[in-house]
Amino acid sequence: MNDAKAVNAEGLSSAGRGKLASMFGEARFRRAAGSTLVLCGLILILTTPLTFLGPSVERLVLLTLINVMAVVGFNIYTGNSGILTVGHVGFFAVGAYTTALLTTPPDLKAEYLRHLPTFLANAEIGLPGSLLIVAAVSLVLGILTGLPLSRLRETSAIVATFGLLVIVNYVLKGATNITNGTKGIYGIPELVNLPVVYGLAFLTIAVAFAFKVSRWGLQLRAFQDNEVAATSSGIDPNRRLLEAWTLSAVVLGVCGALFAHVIGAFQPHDFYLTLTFALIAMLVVGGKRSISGAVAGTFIITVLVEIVKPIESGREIAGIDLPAIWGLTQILLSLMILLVMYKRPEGIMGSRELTLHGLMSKFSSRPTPRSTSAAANVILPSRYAEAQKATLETNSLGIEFGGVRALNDVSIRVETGKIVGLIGPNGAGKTTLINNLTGVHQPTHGEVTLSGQKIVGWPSSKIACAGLGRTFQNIRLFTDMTVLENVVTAALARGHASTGVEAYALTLLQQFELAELAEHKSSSLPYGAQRRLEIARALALEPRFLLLDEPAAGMNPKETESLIEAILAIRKAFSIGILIVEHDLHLIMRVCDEVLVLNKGELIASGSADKVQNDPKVIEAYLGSQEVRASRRKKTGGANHQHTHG
Amino acid sequence: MELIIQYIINALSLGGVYALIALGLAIVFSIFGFINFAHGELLTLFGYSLFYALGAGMPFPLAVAVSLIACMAAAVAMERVAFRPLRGANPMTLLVSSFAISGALQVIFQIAFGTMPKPLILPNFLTGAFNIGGVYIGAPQLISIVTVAILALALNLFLNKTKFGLSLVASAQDFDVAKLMGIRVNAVYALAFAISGFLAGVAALLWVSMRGSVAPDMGFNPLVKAFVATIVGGMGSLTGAVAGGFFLGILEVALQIVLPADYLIFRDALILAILIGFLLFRPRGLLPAAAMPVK
Repeated sequence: MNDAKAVNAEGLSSAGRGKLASMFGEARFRRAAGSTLVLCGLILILTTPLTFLGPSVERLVLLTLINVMAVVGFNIYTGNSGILTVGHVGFFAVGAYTTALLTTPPDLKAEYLRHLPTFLANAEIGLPGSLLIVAAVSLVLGILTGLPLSRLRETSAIVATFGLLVIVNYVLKGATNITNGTKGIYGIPELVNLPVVYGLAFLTIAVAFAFKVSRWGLQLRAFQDNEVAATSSGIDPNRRLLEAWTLSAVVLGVCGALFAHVIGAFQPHDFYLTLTFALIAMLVVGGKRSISGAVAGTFIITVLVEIVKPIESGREIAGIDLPAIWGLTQILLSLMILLVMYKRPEGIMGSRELTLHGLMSKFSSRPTPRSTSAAANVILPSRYAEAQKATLETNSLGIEFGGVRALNDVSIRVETGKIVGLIGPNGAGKTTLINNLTGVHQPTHGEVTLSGQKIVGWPSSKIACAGLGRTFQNIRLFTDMTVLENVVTAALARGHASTGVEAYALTLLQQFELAELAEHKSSSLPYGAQRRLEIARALALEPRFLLLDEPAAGMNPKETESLIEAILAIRKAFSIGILIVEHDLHLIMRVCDEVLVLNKGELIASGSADKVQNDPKVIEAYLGSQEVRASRRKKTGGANHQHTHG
Repeated sequence: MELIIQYIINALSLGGVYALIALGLAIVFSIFGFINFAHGELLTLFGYSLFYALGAGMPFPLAVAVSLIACMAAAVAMERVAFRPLRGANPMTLLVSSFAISGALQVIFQIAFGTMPKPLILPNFLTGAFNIGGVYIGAPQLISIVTVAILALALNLFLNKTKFGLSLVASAQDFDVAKLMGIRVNAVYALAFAISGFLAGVAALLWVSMRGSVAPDMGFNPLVKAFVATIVGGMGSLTGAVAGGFFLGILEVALQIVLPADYLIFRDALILAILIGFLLFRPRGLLPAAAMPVK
């Protein structure tokens, strides 16, 4: 596998070759390359024999391959971001029209497009040039549309992509001078052949796999799993969404161009709901998170449609371009989608991919051990060694939610090397304080400074990269990603080099006794391990300060004990400052150099653990006023509450 | 001056129709968290129901009542048959399912009713026009404004004053807690879809009285715009949906006035582009629903 790539790499500059070689040092890229080979091999095996069955079947193969490419293109955006796109057929249409206008012979165009601008009227260029222009046009349109779209989430984003499809259709129908309106365009030269389409389809699959495991793909999948945790791990989701959107726009544009050259004539109607419907059916049936699923879905739907088509119309038409009066095919697609949604909403493949490793172990019944070459001697980043002193301070911090003061005039100071505990009754504003420090909320008053730099107003991702790592009260992992990927993603978002990041992540995982679980899905971990993973992920950001929000919540005493040891070890190994919000006072007493007490949004006490423990104001906040306590003491016989819980 | 009043009335009446569609979408969204792609088919269904009821010789008010009931029943049936088996599924699954249902219904309508538009003979009071102080006002426009105002008021009273309505509001705010408070889940589901169907029916009545015909794809165009209006108004917020609908109506009439005749064909594309572009500046919409706290 590496040999084949080495041959390909010969054409590259030495710098490029070095980069490629180092890329394949990383297991995730090796695996992606393996999956690409398996998938492309399967496609070849399934389709090549058909191409000898005559021109109409060959055309069907061409259209199927274009559909594979298009659905994989959908997957680049939808699979990584989790946001369904209903609009990418718009780019498909733009690609088809662009190449049609650029390649159709001028005398033919003069027949039905008399008002074409001269540069288009006289254009007659070859396929490579046209494809390049199509890619460039799609790139520009992708960026322009992606700018507003990448700011939207969930349903809003889906609806907006749908709006885009409708816009493109209106424009195609309306701009009659260029598009010939609803009458459409014909006489497009049939410039593509099997090798070209195979090549581009395989290239698309390779790009999709590479993107999926790249820095951007990982970050986007992290965003899909948990946006708040992603931004707190240094990820800027909007940028990542824009990149994926644009890349998949380019793929769809090229698909449209190839499509135009296969079918030779089309109308705006061909690039509208019916095609969108078919492509989405292929995407969701296979599984929107999986590239292998995209390919599988395309084949399944294509086969089903081909079976139904003769029944529907009594005549055979190749390809997915459904007849003008649709009936059975559309209903079949609807039923297929509904069936999958009812029985297996994540699709046939779910989020799994075919891998070379899986294929090998199927053939040789003996399972081949996967090499988890944990480089034990990777040195943690030098930043820790030469750690300079840093401080995290708030100055009269305050925030209001609809008139309710959740925090009022809170001034705290944490230094590197120190562990500060933050305690207080439920609803005191502890989590709100952490959210204000990390940019999840914007304080309405006061300042937050990190080593003298004001960070209020910064996005969470920037604050995370500047040195604030955090965990969450309700664990927020990138649930569908592996343990290793969770840590790798954070490290890459922080700016770790792409090579060596897996070894780095493994050393971190080792310190939290998670290395053996590296390839497991993070959501499958036991509770305590999930908490540890969240801390490891925060440390992958190489933070100067670590903010832990109730790390011991839900832990049994044994787990808490190992957590305490871990926290003390972290301070020693990384010399960072730690702020712990916790209800477990035992833990607070054991690890904290200083304890802050928050009640009703105000700081009521601070100092050493012992001092705070005996502060009357603190006791009152926790247990009510003296009188109440006195009466309670009479009833219970003065039970000693050292251990409060939330 | 007369012209300006006329424009304002046009904008309000058109915006009202969009607001009703958007409101129907928003009610379902606020409970289920998904936007129902098959909502447009309810509009179409109302149109054909009215067409055939009138064709069968029913008096107009009866035909409207029958069609409204049919529309509500279809909406409730849609929930019962298609969405209830998916209870607890994530919104994306529901959305994709509604997309599939919409696709299937479109085909069924085409097979059942044919692809060509059918003219609808409506009573004179719905198609005529009044001349008030020199201002020419179309009856559909006037009726639209009055209907939307009454409906908005009635819906507001229903949601805030009746037990049924309050259970819906509570469910929209936090369905899990509402369930714990003993709200009958099935009733809330059915109610949400029934209201959504009712609003779609009324919107369809106003829509067909403006266009004068029914067609299998008549629901599509207003639906797409209402979709975008819903997100521009603020996803999940009922007030936002109404605001988005009127915003859309005003924009549409304004473009109708401003655009040169040659470019009117691009009006709808431009409207959608402006609305999506608007989201660049306010990604959460005009009046966004409250966000959940981050813990």
